[in-house]
Amino acid sequence: MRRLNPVCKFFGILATAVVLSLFYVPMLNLGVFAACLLAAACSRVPLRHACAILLPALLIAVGMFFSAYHFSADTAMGAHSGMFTDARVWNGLLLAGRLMGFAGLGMLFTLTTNQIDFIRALNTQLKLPARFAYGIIAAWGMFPRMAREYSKTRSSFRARGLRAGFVSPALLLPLLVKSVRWSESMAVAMESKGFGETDTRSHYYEFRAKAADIAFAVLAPAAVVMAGVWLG
Amino acid sequence: MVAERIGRKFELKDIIMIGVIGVLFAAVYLATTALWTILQAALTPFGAATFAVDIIYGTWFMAGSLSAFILRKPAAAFIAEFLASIIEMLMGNFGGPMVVLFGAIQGAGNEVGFVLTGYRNFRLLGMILSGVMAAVFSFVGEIFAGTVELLSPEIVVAKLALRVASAVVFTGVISWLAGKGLARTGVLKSYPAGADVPRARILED
Repeated sequence: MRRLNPVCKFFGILATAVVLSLFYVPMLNLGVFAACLLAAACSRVPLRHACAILLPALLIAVGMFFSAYHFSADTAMGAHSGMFTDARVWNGLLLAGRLMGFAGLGMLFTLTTNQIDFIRALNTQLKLPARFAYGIIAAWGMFPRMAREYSKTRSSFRARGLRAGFVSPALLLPLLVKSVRWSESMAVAMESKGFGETDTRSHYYEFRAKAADIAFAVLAPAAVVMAGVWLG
Repeated sequence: MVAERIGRKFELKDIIMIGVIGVLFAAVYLATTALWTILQAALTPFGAATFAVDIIYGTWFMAGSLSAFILRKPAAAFIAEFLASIIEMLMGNFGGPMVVLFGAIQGAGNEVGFVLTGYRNFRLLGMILSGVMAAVFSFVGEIFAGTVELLSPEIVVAKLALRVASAVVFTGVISWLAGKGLARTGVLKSYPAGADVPRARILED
């Protein structure tokens, strides 16, 4: 998964998720989730990172199951297979399973894709204007500084005896002020180095879709369609 | 190309500013996702967990409306919301690529809210309208994603009402207050939002 072209992987996984939302088959959702876990394991995704993404999703899925169980629509969509006779259980499993299917796909993409490579690929393959691509990369690069500044402001609040929660408007507004200042300085720095002078740029990192990348983008959603028809 | 035509209307500093707001709100969105998880777990024993997301949904539209408030340019709300969703996905939201799809849908809703006022109202009413449209668009998106239609119609209507109320509070009122507060510090003096705002003392830590 790590070697796949980031843009093809993005569209392959997005198409798979969209296809998944068209089927009303709980086993399909769980099958996709299991396939994602298998692919993540084969790609040597650290278990700790995968759990950090999947555990919140699991909690939300459990809540969704009980909500659908308590407040279910009168009819169960596609409950004709006979596996589950109770429409409420069927609907609960569908909603919860679908969320886990989405979460598995999301985890697989996030933990097997280099963030900067994905933005570069958007620029070179999908022709996202360079100002946007490098603007995002510049802003992304500021994140560690923003995190440091946030904890510094929090410490200075504490030193003054002021109380502020972990996510507090009193802390976010100063950060917002500094972020706007940094963004202006960053823009001046980039322009002073000649960025934006010409629209034709050369790229050190080239991204091209190979046959295997296109095959993934087509075959992954196609496999879900076939499995959905077969299981449905 | 449409993207290039729109891109030319934005200076580099506008785009980096949108990106920085996107990064900041992507972190806020992740914190919101954690809050959603806690709220969902707390409401699960009552079977009311489905409402957890709607109570806080308005926070997810804030990047779009705040960026539009600052820049006051067509497409600013859509681009900001879209970029924030890309950054949120890259930061590790479990929705993955679906987050970007929903970011685009919500951004379109944000933008339509400002289109309805002809890009003339960036006051409280305009911000609320942008939030309400984003809430409606996101709900329609979820119907297509097949995550609400299995619930009974009364619950679906209650979810929509809660989501609109959340958008009014977070995307409308709080974004507007944040924008006004930001403008008063003087840091937006080179942007349309800060042009004629009396400035208070600049906030420093």
